Amino acid sequence: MISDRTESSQDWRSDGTGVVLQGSQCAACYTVGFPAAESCTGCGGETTTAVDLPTEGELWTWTTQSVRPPSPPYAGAESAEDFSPYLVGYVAFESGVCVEGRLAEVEPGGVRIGDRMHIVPVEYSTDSQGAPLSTFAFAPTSAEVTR
Amino acid sequence: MTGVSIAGIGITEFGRNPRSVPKMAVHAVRGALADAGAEWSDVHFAAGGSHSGGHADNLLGPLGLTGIPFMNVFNGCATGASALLAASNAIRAGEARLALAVGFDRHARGSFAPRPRDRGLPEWYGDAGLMVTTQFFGMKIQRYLEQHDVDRSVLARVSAKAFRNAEHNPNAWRRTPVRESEIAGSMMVADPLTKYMFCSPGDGAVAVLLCRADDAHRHSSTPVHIRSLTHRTRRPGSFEVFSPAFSPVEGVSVSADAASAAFEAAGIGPGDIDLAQLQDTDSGAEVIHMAEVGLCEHGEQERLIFDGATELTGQIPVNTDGGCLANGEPIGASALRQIHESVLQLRGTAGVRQVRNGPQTALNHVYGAPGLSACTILSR
Repeated sequence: MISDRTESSQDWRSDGTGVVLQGSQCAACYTVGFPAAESCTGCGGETTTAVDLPTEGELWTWTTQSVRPPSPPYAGAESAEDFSPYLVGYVAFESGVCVEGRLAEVEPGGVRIGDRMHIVPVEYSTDSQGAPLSTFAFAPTSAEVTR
Repeated sequence: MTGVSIAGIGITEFGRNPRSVPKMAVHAVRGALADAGAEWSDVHFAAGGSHSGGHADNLLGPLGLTGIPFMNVFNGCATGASALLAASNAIRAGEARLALAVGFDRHARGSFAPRPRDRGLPEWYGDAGLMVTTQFFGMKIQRYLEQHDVDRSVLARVSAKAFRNAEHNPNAWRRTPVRESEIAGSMMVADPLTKYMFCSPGDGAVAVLLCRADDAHRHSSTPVHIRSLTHRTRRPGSFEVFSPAFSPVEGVSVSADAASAAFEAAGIGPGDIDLAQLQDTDSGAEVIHMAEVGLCEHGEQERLIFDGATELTGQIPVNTDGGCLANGEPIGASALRQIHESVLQLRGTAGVRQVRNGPQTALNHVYGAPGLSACTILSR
């Protein structure tokens, strides 16, 4: 069943091995933006081209979401009692852009700024019809690399 | 061009106010008129704003339809500062001898529920549970503490100060002192920030009347003057709330931009400030803003806070009325609440919480979504 919310997935795609975020890059100052935008937030340039973001980066900061966010905008249909806390963070990619997303496969005590992270798909909840809601998330690349 | 001074101030109780929203706002305006020794018919320009309390110019009904220009403004947490800027400009331009800035609000319990499309953001950002203001504040201070080697224990200390200061503020919402251990041990909302380290949306209304500096003595025996009033919006590279992505540039901060412009316009420096009201949506924000506005170096906060420098008795008291942490955050009102408190302090009429040795100069700073800041410097 396809949720009416999958229109948003134009901002990323699954390529078999993981998730690729689809941003844009300014033709004038090379600033990378995500989601893709028609003009550059760095310099106001009006020419941008589509660019795939790298699939790995470093955790720039993080925090926790311990209670169910206000809905709307949150789309998950679970009750406050059934809500599962999650982590969010920004991952810095080589181009200099930091992207915000949920963190996957981590606990509050087990994550540190600077950890290597890669992008994975996650099903974070279901909508009111029971259809899965999915998005991208950042997961630690490996324990050996991060310590 | 004429200077601009404070003619009068008025305020309601913050928190949960039994009055209707218009009655709260009218109460604040009448308080300011009484303080200025003026009548509503003397006011020839007004500006006001509210996030959830309706159009500000609805106040013209109960106050009197005098036909004056009334500018509705909304600028997030800087709404009151924007109303003040509009009123100040009307005085400077000679369009009014007495101008009103008013801000008020009433919010539902719990955190705000913003909509992605209102901010030009994709729907998936809200759907996935990323459009939550508390997350931004948690993430900003999380990185800041690590980057500048500041211990997280400062966060409980800042909240404890807010509640202690508010104990002596009859208009504050949370007036019961809370132990630091209880603050640190309360529910974790957005690591490292716990429940008692966040302000709550609430009710409140504040009115400020402005006049020409050469009229100031007609309204007050201890006039307070606006030395500078600056607004800025974010530059590229600034870390802001509701940003699916951004490219960080070290040191770029809209609060730093607004504050340095305010100091330059006033012709003074951070060392000349005797007390400060800083945006404290959360206790981490107060810590960060201390350095961003120039009151200290980055990383110096831990020593200053544990030495008591920001207490009422310290060298640079911060949020002397309990700030947003103890007064709550009625978005339209908070910036003018800061002005109200600084005016009381500069007049020397702040009662038990009066800063000693006759403070001469106060810095007022607000910060809000989607990356804007306003700074107002007041002096005796």
